[in-house]
Amino acid sequence: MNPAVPVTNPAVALQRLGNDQSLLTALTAYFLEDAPGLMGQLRAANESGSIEEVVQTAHGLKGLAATFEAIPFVQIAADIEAHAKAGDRSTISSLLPPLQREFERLVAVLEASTKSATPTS
Amino acid sequence: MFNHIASEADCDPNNIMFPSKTTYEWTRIRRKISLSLSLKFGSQICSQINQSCHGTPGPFLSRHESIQMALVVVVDDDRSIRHMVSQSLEKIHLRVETAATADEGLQLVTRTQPDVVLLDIMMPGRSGLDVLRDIQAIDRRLPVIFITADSGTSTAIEAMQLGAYDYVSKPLDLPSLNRLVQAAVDARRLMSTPVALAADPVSDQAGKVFVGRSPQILDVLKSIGRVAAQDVPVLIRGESGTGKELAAQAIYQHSHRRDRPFMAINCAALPDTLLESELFGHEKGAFTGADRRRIGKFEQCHGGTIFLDEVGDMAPVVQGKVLRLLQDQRFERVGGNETIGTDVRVIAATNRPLEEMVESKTFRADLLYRLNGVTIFIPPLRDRREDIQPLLKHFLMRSQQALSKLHIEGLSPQSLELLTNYSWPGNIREMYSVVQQAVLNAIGPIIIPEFLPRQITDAHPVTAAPAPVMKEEPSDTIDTHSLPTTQNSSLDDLSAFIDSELRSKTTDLYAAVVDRVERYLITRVLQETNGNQSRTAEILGVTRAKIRDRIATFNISMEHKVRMDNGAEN
Repeated sequence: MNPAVPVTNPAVALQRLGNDQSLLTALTAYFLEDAPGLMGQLRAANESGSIEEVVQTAHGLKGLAATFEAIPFVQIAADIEAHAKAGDRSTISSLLPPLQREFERLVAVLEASTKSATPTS
Repeated sequence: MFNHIASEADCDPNNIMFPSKTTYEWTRIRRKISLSLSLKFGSQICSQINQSCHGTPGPFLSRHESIQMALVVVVDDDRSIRHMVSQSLEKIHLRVETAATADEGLQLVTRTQPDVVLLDIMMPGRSGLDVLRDIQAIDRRLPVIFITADSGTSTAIEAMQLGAYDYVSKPLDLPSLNRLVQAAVDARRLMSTPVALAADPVSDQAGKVFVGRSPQILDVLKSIGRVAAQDVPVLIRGESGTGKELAAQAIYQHSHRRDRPFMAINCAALPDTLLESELFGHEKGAFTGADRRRIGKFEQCHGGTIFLDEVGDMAPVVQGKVLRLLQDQRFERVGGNETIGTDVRVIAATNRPLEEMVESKTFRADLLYRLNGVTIFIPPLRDRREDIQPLLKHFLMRSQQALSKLHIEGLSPQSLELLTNYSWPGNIREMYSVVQQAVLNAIGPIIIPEFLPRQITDAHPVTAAPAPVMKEEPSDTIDTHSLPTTQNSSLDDLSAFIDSELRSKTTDLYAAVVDRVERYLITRVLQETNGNQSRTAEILGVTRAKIRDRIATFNISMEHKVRMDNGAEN
């Protein structure tokens, strides 16, 4: 993990979404709902040796996180996808813990952004 | 209503706009009813009319727009992609339907017959490439845009070669995606709108049509019929606004390539380097900003037809590459070494004097010979004046329907006289725009001169078909009393014109606006230089040949000199 690379880049993400803040908020909610399940699916697929499912799930996670310009997470997910396509299971297992760490950092950042975007009563 | 008038008028081509006596009486009765209604409900009615005229859509326009909205189907297993794309495309007034699986997507395509499909290239269970093949089996001309995770992959290249319209990579840039999808919608319409080769507008209800019964337009139709099935390049020549793109569409739709793509490129609309990249594609790093490999139109359009509009404005470097493509159907992407083979029919069009440009070495002779395997010349409207009235009728009908102003019955005798005598320097495009403006401006069932644009009411009547003036002018400088004029030189109403065109759902706005602005610019600078063409060319940074060409194209007249040429003075 390179600490110099931010977990997300909201400015770039927002620009790509046509500066639609409400859309960014909706996509954040989707990520927070969908990504934990995909992370579990990825681990299970690796344990059961279902390489095709590893490819699909890593690909899906990569696409979800790319919306937020979450480069560190996206890079590890892309590595997992590439190694899965090459059938390299041992490297995949070694990449899962760093992916999990990046995932937790990403979720923390996105949850914080959701809270700051929610109007207080 | 108008349909009734039209059916009577069909019997008598000289009576196309006016109500018969009976209808005229109906008109008077309707006017009386209208007057009494406006006395009773005046403000309400006026407000509705004003809404229709000034851009805020009234109820009819809204309903019309909803009918006309293009449909995009998005197939992606990621719901966040489906959501963001839907939200984004709806902002540009496109309807969106989504599917989470390939099977659902195919069912949706079959059921809804969309205008464009956005398809994830990597979905669980099935490859997007397989789905593309299935979509092509349903509708070969449906533009499919792939959503990929990586832009440079061989899968994306393969997708393009299979006939995908384009591809976008994640994370999606929504403003760019909107532009791309809109371009795909336009391409779909170009491919699908039928161009009937009929000489009578009555047969045209929905599609575009060549209207007219003049020998000149019948010759054009015959030429299109002769050349369409032959796989040769075609060069379409004619002044701006005569319908060159329509002719190209007609050739395509009557060719054996009609089930393959048709792509139109305006060579004058793009800077040289961008045009080269657009046509031939580029490799990653080929130039600053080329951050990924791009597939060009010639590769994308494999098996289909490319329409190169304004081919006379193509830069020499691009001319060379197009020549090679015409010779052996091979080319290289910009910045690439790999030679790529393709199979594309080229239809080109221009209003420029290519032979003169060959002499002045601004256009390659060998390219000219290659392009004009067959040449079709579309005559200007002033040379086929007998088609003016059928065309007016046709555009009235289209504008009525497009603008939901079905209460309009026709033109008053004075309006018809003005329109018939007008010289139509902007040809068919100008006529369509004039009729649209008149229909939008009209209050009441009859279009009187007050509702016509100024260029018509201020114009001097044409007594004979005028040749483009200044053509034989040998001198560089003309009489200082001779100031150039044009019948459409004001930019005051540009914004209103664009608004009007947008409301009418035009598909030719770029050309129409550029035409209008260019006409104004050339006229204005000629006025500034007292008609000195060399000085005008210098100020504008273009060649003198271009100035002469534009003077002829736009029918810009140097009034004093015209009269001298006609022998009325001196």
